[in-house]
Amino acid sequence: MELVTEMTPTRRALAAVLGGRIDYVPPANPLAQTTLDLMEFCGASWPKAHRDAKMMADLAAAPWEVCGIETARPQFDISLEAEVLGCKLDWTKSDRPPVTGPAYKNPKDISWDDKFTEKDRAAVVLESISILRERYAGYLPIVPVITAPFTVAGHIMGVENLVMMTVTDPEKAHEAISAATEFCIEYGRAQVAAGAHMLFPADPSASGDLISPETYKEFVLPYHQKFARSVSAPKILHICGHTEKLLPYIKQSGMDCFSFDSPPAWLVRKELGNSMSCLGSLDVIDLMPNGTPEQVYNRTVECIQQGVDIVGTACDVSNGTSLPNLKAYVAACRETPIPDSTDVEDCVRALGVAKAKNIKEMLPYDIEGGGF
Amino acid sequence: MTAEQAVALDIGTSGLRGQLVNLENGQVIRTCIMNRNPIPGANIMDHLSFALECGGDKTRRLLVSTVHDIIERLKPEHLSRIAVCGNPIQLSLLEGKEFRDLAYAGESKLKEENIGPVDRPGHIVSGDILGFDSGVEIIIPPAVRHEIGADALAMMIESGFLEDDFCLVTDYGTNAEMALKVGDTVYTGSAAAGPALEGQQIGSGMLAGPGALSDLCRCPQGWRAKVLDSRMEVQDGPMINMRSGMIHKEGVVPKGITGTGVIALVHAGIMDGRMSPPKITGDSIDITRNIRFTNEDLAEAGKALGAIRAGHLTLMIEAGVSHKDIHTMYMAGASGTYVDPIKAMSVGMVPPSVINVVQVGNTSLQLAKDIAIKPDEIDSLNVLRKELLAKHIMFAKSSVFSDLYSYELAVWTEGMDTYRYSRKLAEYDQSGYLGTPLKPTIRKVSDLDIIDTGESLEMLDTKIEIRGTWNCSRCGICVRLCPEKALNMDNGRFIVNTGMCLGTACMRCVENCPEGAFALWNTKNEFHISKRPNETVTAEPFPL
Amino acid sequence: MHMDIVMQQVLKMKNEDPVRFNKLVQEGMAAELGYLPEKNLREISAEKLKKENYSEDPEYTAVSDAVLAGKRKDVEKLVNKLIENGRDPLDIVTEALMPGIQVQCEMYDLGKAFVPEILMSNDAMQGGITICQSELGDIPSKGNIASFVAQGDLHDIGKNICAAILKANGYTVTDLGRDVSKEEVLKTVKDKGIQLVCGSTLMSTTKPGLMDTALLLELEKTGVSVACGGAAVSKAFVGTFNNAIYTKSPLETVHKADSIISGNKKWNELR
Repeated sequence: MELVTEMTPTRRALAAVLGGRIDYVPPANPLAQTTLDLMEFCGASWPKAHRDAKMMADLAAAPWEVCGIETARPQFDISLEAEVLGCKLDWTKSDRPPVTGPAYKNPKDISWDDKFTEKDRAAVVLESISILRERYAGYLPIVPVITAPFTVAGHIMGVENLVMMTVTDPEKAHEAISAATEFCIEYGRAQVAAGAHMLFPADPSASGDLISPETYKEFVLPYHQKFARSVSAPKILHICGHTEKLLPYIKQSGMDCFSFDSPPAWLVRKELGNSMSCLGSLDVIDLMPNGTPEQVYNRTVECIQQGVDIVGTACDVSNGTSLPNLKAYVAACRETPIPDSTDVEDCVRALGVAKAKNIKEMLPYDIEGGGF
Repeated sequence: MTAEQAVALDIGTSGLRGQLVNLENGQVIRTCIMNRNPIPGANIMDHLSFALECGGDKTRRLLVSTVHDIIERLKPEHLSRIAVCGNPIQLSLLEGKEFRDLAYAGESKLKEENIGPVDRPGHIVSGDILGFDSGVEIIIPPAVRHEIGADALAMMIESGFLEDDFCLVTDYGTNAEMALKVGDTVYTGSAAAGPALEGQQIGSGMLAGPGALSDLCRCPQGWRAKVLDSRMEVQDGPMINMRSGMIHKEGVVPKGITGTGVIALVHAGIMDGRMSPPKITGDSIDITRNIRFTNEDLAEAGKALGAIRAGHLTLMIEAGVSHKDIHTMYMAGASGTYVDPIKAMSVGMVPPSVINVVQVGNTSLQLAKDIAIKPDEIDSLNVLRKELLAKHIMFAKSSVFSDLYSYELAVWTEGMDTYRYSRKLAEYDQSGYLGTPLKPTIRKVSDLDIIDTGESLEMLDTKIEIRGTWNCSRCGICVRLCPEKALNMDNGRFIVNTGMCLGTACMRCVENCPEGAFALWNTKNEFHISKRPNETVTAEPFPL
Repeated sequence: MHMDIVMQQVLKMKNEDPVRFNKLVQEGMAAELGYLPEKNLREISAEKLKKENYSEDPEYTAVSDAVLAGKRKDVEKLVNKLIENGRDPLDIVTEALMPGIQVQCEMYDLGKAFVPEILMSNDAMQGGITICQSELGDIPSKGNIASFVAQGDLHDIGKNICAAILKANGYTVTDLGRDVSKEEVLKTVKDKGIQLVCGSTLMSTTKPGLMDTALLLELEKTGVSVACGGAAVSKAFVGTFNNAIYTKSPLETVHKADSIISGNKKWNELR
């Protein structure tokens, strides 16, 4: 039973992120889906897909063209920002080239070319955004990734160094993260100007596996807030790993949507309430690459029933993930009915759902996971 | 002294093709094609309707005149034979023989009019039958049964089907003649698919010609339309994005969609989730302001595709064979030559276990050429037809076909889930038919449907007209409404270019006449066959 | 999001329709606690329709179920047994056979049943009707209709669907089959008091058969006209001869049959 109406993917994704009216929970996954099948479909290869704007556009839109996934996500790695800021990358791993080492010892030295958006890899990303805008005339939402300040600062100063600095030399840490934030704001604005519909700041180093809630509060949150108010576009914040204990702070970040990994969806929903939307969370270690389409379908339905606003994967999808699995995820989104907040019957039923939830919550639960 | 020559002719619903052959070395000297059949109508049933209403005699004159035109243009020297192949309706009309048994699927009408069963063996007659010199031999190959004619026989012989095993052959046209070979037995059948797969009964459909959208090619940004240009060569056209409905206007502007284009659209639409039979999201795919593919078009295409698939399955079920054993598919007919076999397979026109596809081109013309060179072949053809007569399955009478077709209708026009059809097919031991097909290897015997055209290939226009007069106010509505511009008024007389007229497929002139006076088919009116271009009215009596 | 608007409606329902209110709350709770069993949507509709249409008598509902399942032999067996046990054939038709086809037709309208089910139920029902007719003679109904496929044509799926839907709507349908001559239609019209004839054809060569039949019925002053349908038939074609109307779909046929038979309208008033 399909509930598809005349809504376009862009309207649906924007409404889902900003808390508006939708017809179904969109399969608008902003995590990278550069599987072998999709690369074959558009004739893409590494490292060319990082350096050729048309190939990047084709590959970003391939999940939509082939599977009906409702986003296009240009930029496939989170090392691009570090590279622009001076880090060297290991291009032998050409699909996701990692940063080889820090570029700065002193945050006062952090600098970047004023015209960085016109050169090299940043220009490629921006051009691919323009290509996609023109190609779809806004029909398909363009959601490029942008590495968030804490992670960028970790790349350019060295992650361990930065984490140590938060304890030993907080001022220095703030300086580094502040500089990174300036950079991110410039790049983010350029992405919006090129035609991105929403931004996807990804901050894996800010995970509960690496830092404590207090560290998050002091060294990450203010910069998320600054980024959020400085770049005018809806934003989906992504943090990998265990973020259960960070949720109360993430809620204050000023971002519009939280894309999560390990926490259970119902917990994220409960903690965020109605103040922020959430996106998640299909496991990519086992479920997506090894599971059956039916399992993917059922898990998607489960996420929807637990209250996510957009269903997406927990992290980037692995290369071997099959097309049937991706299509099952899309089908589940389109076929699962959701309550209509304008319909009085659904609202009264929601009272019943609330009553049941209260009953459930009388049972104690434990939040596990994470180093902290 | 020039060698003896023969003309090989193929008379089809969509046109006539003739080749001049050197009988000494068997080479084709030149080829001449007329891309319309001179009988008014868009498909074979229309031709039959015309013949029933206006009489076989008048219909025959149209055909004979055209044959003469073609042969004149082939400029034969020392013509000794004319071999004519085609479907049994065209051949019977050409020879002025009984054709009415071909107009009806049921027998009661034939009984009423005392039309006995008609046998159509291969034969050789003298040329004066068609207005040629009596020394010229006219060679006509046999029909198997009224549905399976000389052209179907040609399809089986010339493709290599008869030498193969566990294989299927299909002429993907209006009548979808098909045959299944298992061991030494050949099962034949003919599914009334309807002309949707030739671009008819589709709102923006057209026969292959300049401006025809004939295929779609998958690119990362969408589907690139392939359009025939003025020289009938395939060029790039607009880029169509199925999911978003965006069209980027590029390349050759399409004017209509051919049958192969319809197949490509259905395939692309279903692949990209834009079509879920019977519905197209947004109710149509708009390719240009004037060309769209609508829900109704999808239903028409679906009925044709369903008839073909049900036909294939019926043959296999009657033969007691699982579809998993059928590995080779011979695709015949113009549609069969130009369609993309991968797309054809994906929409159900080729069974899923086929791993070899052979696109064989115009087999009818090839057979005509073969019997022109070796007329004795007629005897072995006559023997062959007797063997084939045994296992013909008339789908219109088959309860298996009826049963399967009701499921096809449900799937294509009512939105029934395919798993219910799959369950039904499992009952017939054909489970897995609706699953994902294998990827076959494709062999194309030639890029054009005529393999060897000799030193030249000429295209002719039909020049035959019917004229009539009657009492009416000459308001001219009929002329304005004719979609093919086949109708004109001159000095109070109505002139119809018969080749361009769509006949019973259209009838806009008759149905929209405010006085109910338009009656071109009424045999009481004047009926002249005259030839342009001189514009002098000469109603020539034919030497018949 | 204006919460007050929807809250107003919620409070209103709580006050004015507390039963429905509580039922919906229960539904919500059941869904959240995982108690809502996954039911086949098709079965839910069928259950509901059966309750509305079926008789109370279990012997009759067995017949209705057999019609719904399209099992002709079972229908014949059950009907024969009922007749042996002295049950009224007319009752069997209206209380046992009709409900089965009515449920199937409603499912078809809802998009839960399709052509194959309609054809099988029509066939199954016909098995029962034939037995009852031989006991009863004529069965009083909304009207007497004859249906046929034009002479020379054998494609009868359209006719069968139409017949099923007419029967479900209360008409007695005499199915003349396919490849039927105009004389045969005339004879049936006279013998069985037919009030409307439904003719169809798929092939353009056989369309004249529909025209010939309509004109013959007019010539013989039967007062009966022909409703024409089928892939080869168009409104314009039907407009070229008298005593006929064009019906595009089975449902349209029912409406026009209602107008002509119950409404006493003539064919020319419906053109």
